[in-house]
Amino acid sequence: MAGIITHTTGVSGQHAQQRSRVDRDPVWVRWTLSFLAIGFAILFLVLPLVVVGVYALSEGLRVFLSALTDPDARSAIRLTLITAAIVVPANTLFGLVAAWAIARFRFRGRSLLITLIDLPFAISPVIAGLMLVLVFGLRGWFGSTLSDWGVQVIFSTPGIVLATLFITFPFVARELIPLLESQGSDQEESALTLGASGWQMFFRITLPNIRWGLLYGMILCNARAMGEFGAVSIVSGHIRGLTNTLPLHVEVLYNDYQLAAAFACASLLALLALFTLFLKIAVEWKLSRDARLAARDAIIETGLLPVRGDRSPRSTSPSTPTT
Amino acid sequence: MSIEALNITKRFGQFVALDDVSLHVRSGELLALLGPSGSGKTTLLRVIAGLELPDEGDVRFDGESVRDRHVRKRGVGFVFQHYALFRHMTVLENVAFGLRVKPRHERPRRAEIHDRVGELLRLVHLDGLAGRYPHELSGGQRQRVALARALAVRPRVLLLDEPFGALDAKVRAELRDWLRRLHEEIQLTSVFVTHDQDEALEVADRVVVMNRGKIEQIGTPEEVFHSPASAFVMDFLGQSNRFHGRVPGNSARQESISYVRPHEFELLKPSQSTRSIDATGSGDQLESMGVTGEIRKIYSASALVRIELSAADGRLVHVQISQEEFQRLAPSVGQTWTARPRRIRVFAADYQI
Amino acid sequence: MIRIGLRERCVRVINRQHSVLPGFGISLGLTLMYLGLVVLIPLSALVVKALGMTFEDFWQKAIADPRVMASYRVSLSAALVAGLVNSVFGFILAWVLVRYQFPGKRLLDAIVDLPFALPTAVSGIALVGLYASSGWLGGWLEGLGLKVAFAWPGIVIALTMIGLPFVVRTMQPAIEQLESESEEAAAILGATRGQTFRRVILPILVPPLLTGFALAFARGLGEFGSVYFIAGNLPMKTEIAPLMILIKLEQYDYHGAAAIGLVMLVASFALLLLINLLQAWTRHRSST
Repeated sequence: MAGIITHTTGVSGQHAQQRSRVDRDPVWVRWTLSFLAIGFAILFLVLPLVVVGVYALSEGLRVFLSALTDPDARSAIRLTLITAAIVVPANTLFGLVAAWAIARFRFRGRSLLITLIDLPFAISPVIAGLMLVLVFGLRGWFGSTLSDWGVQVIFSTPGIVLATLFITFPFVARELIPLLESQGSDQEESALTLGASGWQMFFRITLPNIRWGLLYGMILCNARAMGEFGAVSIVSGHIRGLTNTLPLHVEVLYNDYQLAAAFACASLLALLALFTLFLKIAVEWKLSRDARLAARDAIIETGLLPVRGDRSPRSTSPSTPTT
Repeated sequence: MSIEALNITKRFGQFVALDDVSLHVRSGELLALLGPSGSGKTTLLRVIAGLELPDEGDVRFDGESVRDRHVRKRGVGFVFQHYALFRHMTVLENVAFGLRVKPRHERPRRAEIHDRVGELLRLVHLDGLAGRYPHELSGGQRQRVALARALAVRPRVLLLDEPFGALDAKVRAELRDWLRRLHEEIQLTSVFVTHDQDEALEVADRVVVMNRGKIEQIGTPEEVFHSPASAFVMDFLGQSNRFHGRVPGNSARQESISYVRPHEFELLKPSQSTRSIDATGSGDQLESMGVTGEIRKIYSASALVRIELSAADGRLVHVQISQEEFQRLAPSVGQTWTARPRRIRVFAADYQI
Repeated sequence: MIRIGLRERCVRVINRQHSVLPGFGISLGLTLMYLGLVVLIPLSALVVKALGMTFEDFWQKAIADPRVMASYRVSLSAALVAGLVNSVFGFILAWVLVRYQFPGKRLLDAIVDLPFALPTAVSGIALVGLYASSGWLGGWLEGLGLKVAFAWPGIVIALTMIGLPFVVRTMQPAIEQLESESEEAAAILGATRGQTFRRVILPILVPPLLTGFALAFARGLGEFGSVYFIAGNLPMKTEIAPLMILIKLEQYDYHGAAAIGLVMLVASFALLLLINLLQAWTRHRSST
């Protein structure tokens, strides 16, 4: 399911400008479709965002600020940050390792492995939470053993971390696998023939080449980790000041009819979403620019593009991705 | 039907693709638009087809302006470089498309469409493949489906954009002969675009050589090859040796370039005076004395023998002689020989590659 | 000796092609271990729990319970309608984004991803803010006799918002890849713009459109956060299937929760399979 989240190519501006006179839609079609598209986007995307901001400030700045500095809210923010601080690095590391194995080697069961990595995207977050309860809950597989040892998973931080780990498991790997595949292993193999060790090859060749894709995957992973609701709400137990993450805190406030406070906390999460979108666009721009440069180099090399004057275009073009 | 393009100018942003181009295609002829990429040849073809609207100028079919007539009603057949076959339709559906989208009152009956498609597929030697999808065909077969599809609507002119561009060399040569014969058979006014000089010279009745949005020369293959009108045409059609120099007797000291085709040299034992012209020597000297130098390489494993001569200033001169000549003279690598041109063409140096 | 033999056997079993690149064993090993711990153990816990029930028990809890059955109906119908709405408007949005130039286009393109980035709880209360009877649009709609929040239409609205990017982001590359030559060829052959759209463009875009629909539908079936706020969660009326799992867990009915979970899991797998087939079809269509 994540395949399409991560492979958005963005707007292709030149494409639209180059249309010839025949494959352009009639003016009335263009106006109607544009009106429908923009209207739909405003109704379903812009208005919800605006309403959060307006309601958050509806009872004044003081209420807004006190909602965010309330001890319960602060502990919810802290728990959210702690969760993300554990989950994002763990899944990043896993994503790198898994992408390396899957993109660089061919082995039996490879496509099954890819499907399994995708699995958390296909499963309802509520089911993810349910699974963890069945494993770690008091009547679950390991629950009683663990509680004998004094370890509590469900209704406590480890459960929240595990649930988030499960939900955000595929983001980085799904981003890196196609990227590594499209880059091929030529550069890595030549590094090896030049005498680099495995780690040298990884840190000097592989990582620099995938760094934007990696960052992109981490951004998406982080956004989901901080915002997850369904899975976390099942394993958290809603203990105020202890096991509430920020999205759960929003729910508690909402159920208490503290609407302004609920919207205030929600607006914090909305800001996080906007920030994520902004970073995502920046990284996408960077990725597409690298791809464009690489494509241009390839065209010049194969001589498809007429180069005037300069007979050695390679010396003047800003060369390959590492710059 | 004749085609006239009158003073066509077409710009894409800053780039001038066609700069005041005029062209007359005679009824029934097969015309080639030849030029390097970016020369405007494809744009001209698309303007004639109605796919692009010219910024200035007019397009006339049989004297009647079609500039503002929509491509749908212009009655042209167009074969795209990559064929643009509809992937989700069979060969039959592709060829029948133009007939099936006609307004109801003009649309032929089902049986008629079927017959017409069968007839066309026989014409392009694809009978029996009507049920195939494009991805099940070879490149040459797709090309012919595209042609049949274009012909199905009985166009008044046929336009082909790089018709053999995407094919491998052998299929290309076959299709070239085939297109020539097909044209003789159906006698439809046809224009095709190509960057391959052999293709243009071999297939077309007349060749239009284009460069940088302008027409350099229009003529029969013989005319453009043997009497190039400009340095560009000279350079573009076949290999040639260039010698910089001044036009003899021109007091304005205008820079000029002399061209000699490799097969227009004769190879001689060096004369007593071993003095040879340098690279800036004038056409006069070149004509009387030729170029003397050491043979660097001989490629004799082909119909004509190619010899590379290294002149005194180090530049290479390419010479082509027949096998008989080669046997008779028996030149070998390392010897010094003189290449004397039988024919020199001099152009003012107003163009750069 | 034994170790080497084992290693060779492992390599033979896994049957990988020879490669000079290092790190195959360790990276695959770590991947499988992590995958096992985080995904496979919990997954098998659910399956084992559900299959540990007698068939009758399973039937009673997952199918025969009218409240559970009603929740399936609500989930399916709302996800279906939302998917259809998105198929239409997502297609239009993608078409406009790829084909037209207008001010604010990049912004529009960026904001399509909002539902991916916005926590579902935020989407949920935002929609309540809009569609509750005291909300910006809710009062006006109720005047027209349409109750949205805390009713079935509210669920559809939430799922529409959540599913929109799936359709848009599936359609965009497909529309970009349409060759303009096909459209030009159709026009030269005499087709009107409408005929070109119906006969040339649409057939190529059907597979990606179905894929986008299936993705949005699958997401809609599993969605919880946004619906939870706006649905009102009235038994037999606006309870969705994921909510039933939560309710069963709150009643400590682990078997009931696992049974419903298994039904949903099977549905997810079926959809996942369908989506993979659709994507293969798309690739087939778009490669000559």
